[in-house]
Amino acid sequence: MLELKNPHSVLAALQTRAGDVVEVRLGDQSPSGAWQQVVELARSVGVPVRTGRLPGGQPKRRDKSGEKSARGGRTSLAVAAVRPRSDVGLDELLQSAGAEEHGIWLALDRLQDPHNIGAIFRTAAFYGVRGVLLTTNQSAPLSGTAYDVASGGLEHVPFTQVGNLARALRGARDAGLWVMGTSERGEDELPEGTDRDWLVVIGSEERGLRRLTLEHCDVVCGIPPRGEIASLNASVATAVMLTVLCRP
Amino acid sequence: MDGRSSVGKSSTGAGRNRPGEWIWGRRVVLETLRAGRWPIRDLWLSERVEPDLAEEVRRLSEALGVEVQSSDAEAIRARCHTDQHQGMLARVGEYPLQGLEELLEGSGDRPLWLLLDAVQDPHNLGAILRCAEILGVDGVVVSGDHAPINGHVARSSAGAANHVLIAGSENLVGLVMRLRREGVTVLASSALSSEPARSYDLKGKLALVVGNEGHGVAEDVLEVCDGRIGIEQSGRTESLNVAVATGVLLYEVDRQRRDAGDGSACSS
Repeated sequence: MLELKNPHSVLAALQTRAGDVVEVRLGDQSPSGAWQQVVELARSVGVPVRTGRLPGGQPKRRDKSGEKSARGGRTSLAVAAVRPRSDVGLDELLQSAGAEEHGIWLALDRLQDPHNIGAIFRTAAFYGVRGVLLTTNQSAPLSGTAYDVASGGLEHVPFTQVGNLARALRGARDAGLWVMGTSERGEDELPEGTDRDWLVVIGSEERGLRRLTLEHCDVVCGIPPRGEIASLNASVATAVMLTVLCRP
Repeated sequence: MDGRSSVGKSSTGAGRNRPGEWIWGRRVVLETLRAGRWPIRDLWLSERVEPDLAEEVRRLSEALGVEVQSSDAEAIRARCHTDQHQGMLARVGEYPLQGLEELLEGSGDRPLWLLLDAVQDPHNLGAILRCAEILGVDGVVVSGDHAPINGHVARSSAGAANHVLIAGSENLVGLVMRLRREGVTVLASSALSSEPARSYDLKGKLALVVGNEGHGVAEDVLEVCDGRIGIEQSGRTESLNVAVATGVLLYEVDRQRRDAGDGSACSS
């Protein structure tokens, strides 16, 4: 069960799969802003809205990121208990490949940071990405943090988790997708606009893409790095790639 | 200060300190030592760190007058509550903000500045600083009720907080008006009624204003800017994360400047 704390991620879950929203808990303060919208929508679709803390919910933990305290006003601890969204399977994820209108898919190779995964889903939803492949091993799980950072993006973009990325990339190529690797050492020019179906592979924060993954790429593109730090954050790099690819 | 409420019931030795003071991991600790800008109060080094790396840490620390305490990985873990310290942990003092005048005067003849209006999430602030560092920003100005620049931000910035020049402003409206009088184009990042980046000439003197996670750039600041700049959407959610949007816009600036063939974005 996920405990979602961002009202926008809860709203998206209520809009797309209300049956998986088990309950909304308001904490000890009266709801305002987006939580008020959550309450109204939850009541209209019959999701229970209660006050106080979730039963069996985790007590407030020390938050290493400092995020909560820095946000000041968001300490009311309203939460929603939501079942995780289900995986669609690779075939279903790729079923719109080859359609008249070209699309973009993403593959995240062992991303470690749930903030990056969430931010990438939010960006993917913004750009209408058709689906996201995630690796199961050595990857951050799709936690409540990822859902909250995605701010609804995890509800709008279908995903599948694969154990063997190289095999999934072969499957994607068989389905007609072109595979684009991203690397700070990539030498191919980032293409503008979508003239084909692209699967963009994003490497892990620390280690980039694996050799075997690179072997399955049709092109490997880079974003010119500057300054003293090697490369952009994975979620920003993904957004830059998508911005250029989606350029009208 | 940040983090006061989150110390909570911690019973360990670190509990008496604010968690925002801590930095850990090789990259961030080394960047902080090498840059020598941000004061380090205490530094713990695991005995398992490779000799040449340990030697560099000791040499840099000695030059800065920082005492290095040998420790084992478990003791370091107990202080920072994570396994991701890679044998290096430090407690930093207050971040040394640059003077605003110094920052504005020290930039080249075609500067690129980033003005942050109340960015409150340390992850976002750190990620923005990382983008700023990589994409050639000459200086960042923080304003309003923003996240303090502390260890959380340093870690999210992957050390970039040590390299980017950061100043504070109490009056963002006044700063925007002044920059415009001085011939700087000031554009506010906005998801609403904005023009795409490609419709602006971003090659000249430029300041980009980025707003708070919840409500964007404040209305009074928007009113005094030259225009609103946005990112064209092709999907359904209404907005991008603030750090992601900032990265995309800075990339567009960098790209226009590179395409113009003058390489000015790299010069400073």
